Amino acid sequence: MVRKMTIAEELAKRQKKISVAEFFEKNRHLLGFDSKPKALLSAIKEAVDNSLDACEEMASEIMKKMERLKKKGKDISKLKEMLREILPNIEVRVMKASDRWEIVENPGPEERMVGEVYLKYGKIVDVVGMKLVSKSKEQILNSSRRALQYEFEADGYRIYVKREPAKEIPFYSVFLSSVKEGEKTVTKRFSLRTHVSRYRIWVEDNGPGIVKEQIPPIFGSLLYGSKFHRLKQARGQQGIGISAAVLYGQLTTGKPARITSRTNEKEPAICIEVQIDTLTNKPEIVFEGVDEHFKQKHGTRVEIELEGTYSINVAKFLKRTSIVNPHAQITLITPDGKKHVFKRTSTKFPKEPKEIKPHPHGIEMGILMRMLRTTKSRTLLSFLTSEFSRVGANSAKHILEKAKLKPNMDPRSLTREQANVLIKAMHEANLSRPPTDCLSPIGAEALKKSVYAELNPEFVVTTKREPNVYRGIPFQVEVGIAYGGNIKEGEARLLRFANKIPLMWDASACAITNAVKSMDWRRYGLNQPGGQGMPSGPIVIIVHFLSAWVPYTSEGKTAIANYPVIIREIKLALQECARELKKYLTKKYVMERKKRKMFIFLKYSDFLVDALSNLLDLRKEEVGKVIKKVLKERYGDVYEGEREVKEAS
Amino acid sequence: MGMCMKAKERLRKLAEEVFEQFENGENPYIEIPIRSLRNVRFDPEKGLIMMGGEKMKRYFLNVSHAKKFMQTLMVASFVKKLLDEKVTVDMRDLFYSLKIPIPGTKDNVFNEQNESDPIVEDLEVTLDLLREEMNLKADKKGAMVGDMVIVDGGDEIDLRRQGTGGWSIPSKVEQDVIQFKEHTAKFVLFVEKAAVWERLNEDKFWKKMDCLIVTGKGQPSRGIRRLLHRMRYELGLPVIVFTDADPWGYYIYSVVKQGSINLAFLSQKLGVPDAKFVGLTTQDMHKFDIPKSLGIKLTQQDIKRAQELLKYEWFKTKEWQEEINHMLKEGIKFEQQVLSNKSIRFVSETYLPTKLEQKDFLP
Repeated sequence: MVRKMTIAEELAKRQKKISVAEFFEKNRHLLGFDSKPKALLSAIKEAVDNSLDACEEMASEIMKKMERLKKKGKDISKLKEMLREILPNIEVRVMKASDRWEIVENPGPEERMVGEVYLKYGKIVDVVGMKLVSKSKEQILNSSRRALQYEFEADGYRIYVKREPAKEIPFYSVFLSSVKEGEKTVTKRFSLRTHVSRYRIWVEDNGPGIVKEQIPPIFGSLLYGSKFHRLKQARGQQGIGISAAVLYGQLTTGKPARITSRTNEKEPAICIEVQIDTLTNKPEIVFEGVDEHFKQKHGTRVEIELEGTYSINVAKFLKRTSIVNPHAQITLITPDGKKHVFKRTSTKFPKEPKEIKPHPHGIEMGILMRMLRTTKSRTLLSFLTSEFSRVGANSAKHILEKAKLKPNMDPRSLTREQANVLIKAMHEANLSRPPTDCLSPIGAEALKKSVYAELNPEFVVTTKREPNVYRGIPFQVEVGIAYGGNIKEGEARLLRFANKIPLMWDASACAITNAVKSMDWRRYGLNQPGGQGMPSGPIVIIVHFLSAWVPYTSEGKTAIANYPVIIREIKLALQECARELKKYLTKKYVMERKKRKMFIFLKYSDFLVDALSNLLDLRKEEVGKVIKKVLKERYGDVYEGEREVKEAS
Repeated sequence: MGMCMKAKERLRKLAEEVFEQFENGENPYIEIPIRSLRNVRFDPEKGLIMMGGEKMKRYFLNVSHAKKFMQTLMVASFVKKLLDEKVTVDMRDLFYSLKIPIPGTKDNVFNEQNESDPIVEDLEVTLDLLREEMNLKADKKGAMVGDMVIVDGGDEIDLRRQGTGGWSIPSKVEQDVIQFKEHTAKFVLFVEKAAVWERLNEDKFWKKMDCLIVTGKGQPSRGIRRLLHRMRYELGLPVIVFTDADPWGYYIYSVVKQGSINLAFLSQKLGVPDAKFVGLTTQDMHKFDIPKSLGIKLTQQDIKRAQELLKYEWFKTKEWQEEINHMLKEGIKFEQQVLSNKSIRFVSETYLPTKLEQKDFLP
């Protein structure tokens, strides 16, 4: 269930002699922990990825079982029930771990710091420069309950700090100013400044859970269980894995990660606190016990304390994750106690992507070399036919003839020069395209439903292209355009996704962005200043790129490389959607114009009835009927209900 | 009564046509002769601006026509009520009667009188009816004095004894209302400005020169023009016009003489093609030694209007082209009252007598 990555692995290999801590420090930027906001989000991302993967892997096991039972004609209702139960339900919480308050008098350029308060999980642990007067210091420090209001004394002033009530997570935000005791009451202005840099993230799922023995290596060892170069559409290709987040938390706060997990309803949840030995890259168990309060029948909770900054990007990331994972329900509780629910819009698990063998057209030198070293094949011929897709005996012979290599050569004996000749022959070989049934798109309908639910737009159009191939690797593009409704005016927003993971950074380097910007959106009835760049209007563009191997531009894995075939596919998909959007907008425009016209005629028709009935000595009803009939005939589709409409201005 | 029946019949026919179109499920329209420069031509033989045959269709189911279509029928319906009740109202009454709010909007059937006036004119040309035949009258705003006795609505009126204000000209001056009796006048002088007319009246100019003096207080109403027309053709009195020396004054002259673009369909009833222009001209500054400093600088609008006049067929005589080009060259205009600079009675004692004596007219 833990995904690996080749480059990180290579890096790790190269740096075997130094400690993992050093390795981590030197490669923070590649691992997504180079800034505080990014670090917090990366940790959440890794945990959420794991949760989704765990649920999906279990679902696919269940589905396989169902298939087997079905064939035997056995009852599968219990498995169906299980499948429903395993639909991902993920709760993400971000809590402030420790705060420092600064009490400042006369805030502004002339301000003076009066005192400091140190808190942990919302409880006061230390007060400096002031006296805590509401209760004795010991009472408060030892109390397990958190007070709603604190009272401090400094320089004879009383300073009140109030806790904002009705919030799930302690959050002290309101600060009251002060009064001086004594013969005269003088009010001075104080203000409270909070400094938060330590957070605890909490990600809980209803997945299968992890058996006790597996927990330490998964969370307490970098790059555990790595298999190299798996060609399979997978989330984990991005990022290094949950253990990196554990290590980051450990390095910045000194705290171990706490993992709570239950695999069987009948047994209690186990709780393990684990950290990484930064010299040996081995897990160290700090605490082991059971958690009686774990509420999931089966599932896992990961808690990591880390230095970070909470930003709106967390909510954005989870919302976007929810768009491309319609079968998941994700709940976020923010540090100030706000709850966001990103709803499930589908109860169907996505088809499980298949793992495929590499296609000779897409193979790179480094990978080929390693494949040669590790293969179980005895001869080059069988190496080619068994380790690659679309290579039969004939094509293999053909390749080897071209490379002037003997078919019965031991693959392990190839020199670098020989491998170079081989790879050239492989790239030039005339082969059929790789299989494309290994991809698992969200599907146009499911994506549409999901976009409606998350963005609440007026109109959504989605499309899915047929799979295509870049450098021997299959990929596929899904696109959606949402218009109007809750979407704000302005420059269109672009949501990029790769293998069901939102891409949050480096938009300008990405093939998706370039495809969007190089379209002439004006042809589709949208505004686009200068005829290039992002279109404007109440629009959100969603592009999901999926592939057995996502070609990221850099190790940061935030942007997709600009292969012409990829850009072309994205553009074709965008154009398909844009055409539908244009049809919708044109129809809407025509209807609105017709409505406006209709309203004008309608508001004058009463007067016409008056005038004509007087001029012709007819009854008003008689004339009115005739006029109404004409209006209905011509504006029937917008006529009904329009009587009530009042002109806006 | 016969006239009333004719009007009622035509109104009914208009409504019937519209209703029939509705019944046939068509987009109903009213065909209206066009009252703009596009559809008038100058008839040099008659010396009149005549209306052409072009018509426009005003549709109900056309966003830019719909309101006017409704307004036209509202005015028609209102006129029918006037005819039914046998009352006559003026144009302002009509406007206020039809300033009806349109439910659900801040709009009215008519918001300003300058919306309802053209609709009445549309109906006049469409139905070939005078507004008087539709029991509508214009505001009266003209005055006349001189050596003549008339009958106005049965009352005999001596125009020599009308005090300082003069006899005020009604909007309807047809034979059945106004009859001319005895007179000794030899011509009619039409004066643009009421103040100048009052000066001439006080100085008994009409007595001295043996004429009738009429003022229109600006652009003359149809009643005044009809009266001038009748005096010219029933009494054979030449009509001489006296206005400011500016494009607007000149246009007033041309309206009296050849008719207006807007009411081209009435030119034959209102025009006086052989009227003459006595002044003021900008060229008079040389003849009467008027300092240029008394002139008013032409505004952009003046210049634009003057250039338009130059292009009108009926201003294309040598004399008028000379005068208008002179005005444009000097860049100034003069008000009639500029003559008071010489002396208060200069206009009645020197200017007009000299010009009339010398027949110093523009055609």
